Amino acid sequence: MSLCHTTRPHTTMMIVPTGVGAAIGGYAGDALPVARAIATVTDRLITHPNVLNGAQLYWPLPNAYYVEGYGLDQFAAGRWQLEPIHQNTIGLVLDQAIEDDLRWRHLQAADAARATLGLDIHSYVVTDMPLGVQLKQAQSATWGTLRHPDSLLRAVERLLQVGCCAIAVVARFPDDVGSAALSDYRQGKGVDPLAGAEAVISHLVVREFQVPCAHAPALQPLSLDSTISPRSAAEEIGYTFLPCVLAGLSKAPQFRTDATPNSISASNVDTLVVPASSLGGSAVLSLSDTRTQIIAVRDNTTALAVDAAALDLAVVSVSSYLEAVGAIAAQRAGIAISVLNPHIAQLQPLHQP
Amino acid sequence: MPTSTHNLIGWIIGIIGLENNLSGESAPLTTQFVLIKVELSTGGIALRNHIEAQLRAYGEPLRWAITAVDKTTVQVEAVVTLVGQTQL
Repeated sequence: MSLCHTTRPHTTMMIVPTGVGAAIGGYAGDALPVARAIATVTDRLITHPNVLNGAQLYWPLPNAYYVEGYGLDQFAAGRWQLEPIHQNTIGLVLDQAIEDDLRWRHLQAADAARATLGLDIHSYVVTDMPLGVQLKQAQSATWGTLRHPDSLLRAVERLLQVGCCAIAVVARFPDDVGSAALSDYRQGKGVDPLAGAEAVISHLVVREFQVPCAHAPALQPLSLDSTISPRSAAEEIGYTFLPCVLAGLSKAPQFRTDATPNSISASNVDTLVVPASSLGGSAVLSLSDTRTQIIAVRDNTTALAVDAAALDLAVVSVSSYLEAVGAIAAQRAGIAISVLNPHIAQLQPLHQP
Repeated sequence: MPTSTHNLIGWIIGIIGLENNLSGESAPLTTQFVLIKVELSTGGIALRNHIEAQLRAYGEPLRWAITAVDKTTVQVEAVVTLVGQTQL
C-alpha cells in the first residue's frame, strides 16, 4: 500500500458524542469555538448538530458540513456519500404536545429565519399524536424513546411529498427532568439529560428517509439563575432552540448511496477528532481500520472510559484541542508530527521478517 | 478480520422496554432501550459489525455506543426499533 498522499481537499471529521457529559461540547453548543478553529486548518470540516448548535447562537462556516449523527455513522461506514448543496428546502415538524404559546414562539422563530436569514422554509406540520418523549439515564449516557414514533414519520412524509428535502423537528420535552440533573447541566456539569432522546428523534428520521434532519426541544422558559455556566448560557437567552437548527439544515449536505463527482466519501476523511475517553462509537470504529488519522483529545473528558488502549485502537493522542488543531495543520502541510518534538531518533534500518 | 471469527457470545444483561404505545395502525413502530454485553475479541470495523449483528436480535439498531470496556467484554447501550410486537 502506498503511503503517498495526493493533493486534494483536506477533510476533517469532528465528533463530540451526545449525552455523555463531554467537558467541551456537552452543553449548549460549547464545542462551536473548537469547530471554528479546526475549520481554519482544514479544507472541509464534517461535524454534527451537537457541535454546531447553540440554540439561538450559531456561526455559519462556509467549509463546514452539518451532518446528523446517524448519517455521520453511515457516511463513516462507507454506506452513504455526502452531496454538498447550495440550499435545502426545509420542512418543520411540531409535536402536537407543544402548547399554543410555545408553538407560536417556534413558528415565529421559523418566520424570523425566513425574513432575516433568507432561509427556504416551506411549511410546517403538527404531528397527529403527541410524540411522547421519554428520557432514560443509563449508566453513563442519556437515551430516550418515543411513545409514537409513527406519528413523527407520518408528519415527515407529508413534508417530503411537497418538496421539502431537510427536516427540522421540535418535540415537547419534559420540563421536570430531575432537579439535580437540570441544575448540574445549567452549571456546566454532568450529562445533558435531553441529548440522548434528541439524538434518537433525528436518527429515526434520517434512517427512514435519508434526508438531513435536526431536532430542537420545546421547553418552558426557566426561571432566571444568575449563576448559569457560560457553557450552558446559550440555552437561557430565548424561547426556542430552533434558529441554529434551521441555519444548519439550510446548507446540510444530502445523503446518497452512490458516488458522484462532487460527493464526499469516507475515504476522503483525513482526520477524525474525538474525545479520548469515548472511542466506542460506530463512526470511530468504522474509520479505525482506514488511513484516517484519529486524533484523541484527552482533556475533553466524558462520563465514559472507552479509550484507545481498551479497544486496541491506533490513535494520535493529544492533550487539548489546541494541540489537535496543530496536528491537523501539520498533516495538511505534509509535516510528520513526530519531528515536532525536541528529540528526534536516528533513522533505523528496516528489519526483514 | 471477518465477522465470523468473532466467536460471538453476546449475552443480555438486561433489556429494558420503555413504555411503547401503539399508534392504532397495523404493525406500529416502537422504540426500545437495550443494554447488552458482547465479547471483546477484536476491534475496529469487525467489532462494529459484531455489535450491530448482536443488536439486530432485539430490533433494528438506531443509535448505540460502547459505554464500558473490561478485558473480555464491551458493554453496549442502544436504542432499537421494532415493527409490531415487542420482543421482550
